[in-house]
Parts: sequence; structure tokens; C-alpha cells
Amino acid sequence: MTIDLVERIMEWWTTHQTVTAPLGLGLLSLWLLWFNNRILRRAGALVAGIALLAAADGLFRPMSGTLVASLAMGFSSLAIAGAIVMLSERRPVYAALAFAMAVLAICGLFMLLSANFFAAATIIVYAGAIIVTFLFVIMLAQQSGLAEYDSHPKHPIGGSIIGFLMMAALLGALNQSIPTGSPSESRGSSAPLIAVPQAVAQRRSPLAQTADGHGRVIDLGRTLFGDYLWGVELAGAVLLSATIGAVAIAGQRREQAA
Amino acid sequence: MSDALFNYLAVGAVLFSLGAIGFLTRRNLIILFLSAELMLQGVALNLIAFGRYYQNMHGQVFAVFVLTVAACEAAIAMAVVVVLYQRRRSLDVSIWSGLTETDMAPVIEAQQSEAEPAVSFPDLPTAGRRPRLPEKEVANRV
Repeated sequence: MTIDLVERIMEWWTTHQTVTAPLGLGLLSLWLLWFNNRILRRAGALVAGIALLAAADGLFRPMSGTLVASLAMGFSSLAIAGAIVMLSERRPVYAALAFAMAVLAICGLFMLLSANFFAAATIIVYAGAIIVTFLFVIMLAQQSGLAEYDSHPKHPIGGSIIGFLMMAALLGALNQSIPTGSPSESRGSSAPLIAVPQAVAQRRSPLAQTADGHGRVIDLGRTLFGDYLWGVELAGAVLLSATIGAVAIAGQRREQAA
Repeated sequence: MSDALFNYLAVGAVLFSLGAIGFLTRRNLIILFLSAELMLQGVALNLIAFGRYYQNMHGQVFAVFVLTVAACEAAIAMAVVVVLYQRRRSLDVSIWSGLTETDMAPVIEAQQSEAEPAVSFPDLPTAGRRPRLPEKEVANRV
């Protein structure tokens, strides 16, 4: 009975190894990173590096061209590393800077996806405006030394397990719905993301179709102000109301206790 | 093409999950909102990847709207954080756990929640002559 169970576990492991190994190592690294001991945190960083290597080995699909593949792998690793540092770093300023690095790596991925304008806009808005605002608020609300609420997160193990369960579900579903190999081989099997009929891609309007498949700013402008003009105007209204709201909330005079 | 799509979707899923872990776990209000922004970045990466895969601009347009709403959310979130900090002088989110349902137990982890005085005392100048203290003790006082 036990040998049968062990065999079934080994069989499940070999079929789900590509997803389970990096995620198990990642969970272990996060558990080590939640401690306040310096040696344990460094061990956690090391295990996180090993988890990233395992993910790059097992989950990374081959892409066209070694330069594109190495750039994509590098940017992805930087983004995930920046996210892990932001989670576990106890000093808020360094956590915000790690988030800035993650945003820059994600913008590198946007460039690889031919979204040049969106990469530049994300750098300006996120790394330029949002993170600077966050750093200003950290500066205003700063306490000397390490705060107690930074070094003791609430339910770190439970939160990590829940997050990694969600990650396992997402990656497992992605792994199964996009089979490995070139699209032409798996046309016959159930592969919903492989064959994109042109009618579906052009359903909204010919404005949205790009000329050579690569994104240009003129195409983005045509789609934005052609198909989504209502959305642009409403986004302007949302921005205006957010500005008024921020000034109204933070502009009040501090109430005196006396 | 779908292999490359899987790469970008996987990175987007991992970033979203890491942002969710940070949002559930951290107690600092600033890091909480940074984790929410990280989740939005994962979603934007997903949208851009699909836009590139289908070779049209709908993904990028949707991501532009996500970016706009994220910026608005960050502005209002920072205003709220500033006001909350002015109330209780701390960036801990578990201080405000009294805003949950009344029949649930409060989730206050820290011990200093009982010691917070509701009234703030005015700053009075010290009276009398400053005593002579050894250097080490003077340096230890804030």
C-alpha cells in the first residue's frame, strides 16, 4: 500500500515538477526571509535565487533569438527579485527602491513586447511620480530605527501559503493550456490560445490593427482616440476627481486636541 | 509565439501573486499600497502580452487605463495615509482593525495599542536650571 502511494507521489511529482519545484523553493525562501535573523534572511535570499534558477530551467519556454530570450529571462528575474525584496525588506525606503527596480525590469519586458510608449509612460508615472510620492510620505512618517510593525508581519506563513497556492493554480493552468512546442504541431489538440483567427483579431475596428505586427505610437493613438474616445474622456474625469479628492483629504487642517 | 506568450503570462502571474502575498502580510501602510501597485503591474504585463500576441492595440489601451486608475489610486491612497498618520502617529495598519465588524476579535498584534493616549499634552518649556548630567546619559536622551 505504501509503495503504491510512494509511486503515485513520484508520478505526480514528475508530471508537475516544473511548477512545484520552483514554487516549493520560493515558499521556503519566503519562510526564511520572514525571520529577523541575518543569517536566516541571507539563506532565504540564496534559496530565492535557486528558486529563480529552477523556474528559469523548468518553466521558461524557448523564445525566438538568444538575445531576446536572455533579455526576457534577465528582466523577468530582476522583476521577481525586486518583488521578493519588496515583500521581505523591513526598511520601507529600501522596499520602495526595490519596487522601483521591479518597475524598471517590467518596463524592460514592455520594451521586448514592442510597447515602447507604454514602457516610457510606466517609467514616468510609476517610477517617477508614484514612487516619489510614496518616498515623500515615508519621509514624513518616518520613525527612528526599525518600527515594530515592519519587522513583525501578520500571518506571514499563512499569507505566503495562500499566495503560493494561487501562484501554483495560475502557473499550472497556464502550463496546461499552452502546451510546449510550436503552434503548428498542436493544432489538433485542445489548445485555446494557439490559433487566432483574423476575424477575431480585427473584430473591433481596422484602426486597432498594427501595420507590421509591432507596436507604434501612432497605432496606439489611433486606437485610443478612435475606438476608446469615451474611455479617454472618462479617464480624464477620473483623474480630475482624484486630484480634487486628494487635495480635499490631505489639505484639511490638523484638528487640535485643545 | 505562444511559448513566448507563456513566458510573459507566467511572469505576470508570479508578480500578481507576490503582490497579493505582500498585501496580505505586511503591516506598513505604504508597503501595503506598493504591493497593490505591484499587482496592477502584473496585470498590465498580462494585458500588453496579449496585445502583442493578437497584434492589435487593445491590450495597450486597456493597460493605459489601468495605469491611469493606478495613478489616481496612489494619489488618494497617499492622502489617506497622511491623514491616518496624523491621527495615530503610526503607519501600522492593525491599529485601525477596529474598523472591522464589531463581532470579530481585533487583530491588533502590537502591545502598544493600550498605551496610546487620546489627548496630546502641550509642549511646555522646562523650568529651572539644566542639571549637569554625564555625557553618555545626555547622548542617550532624544
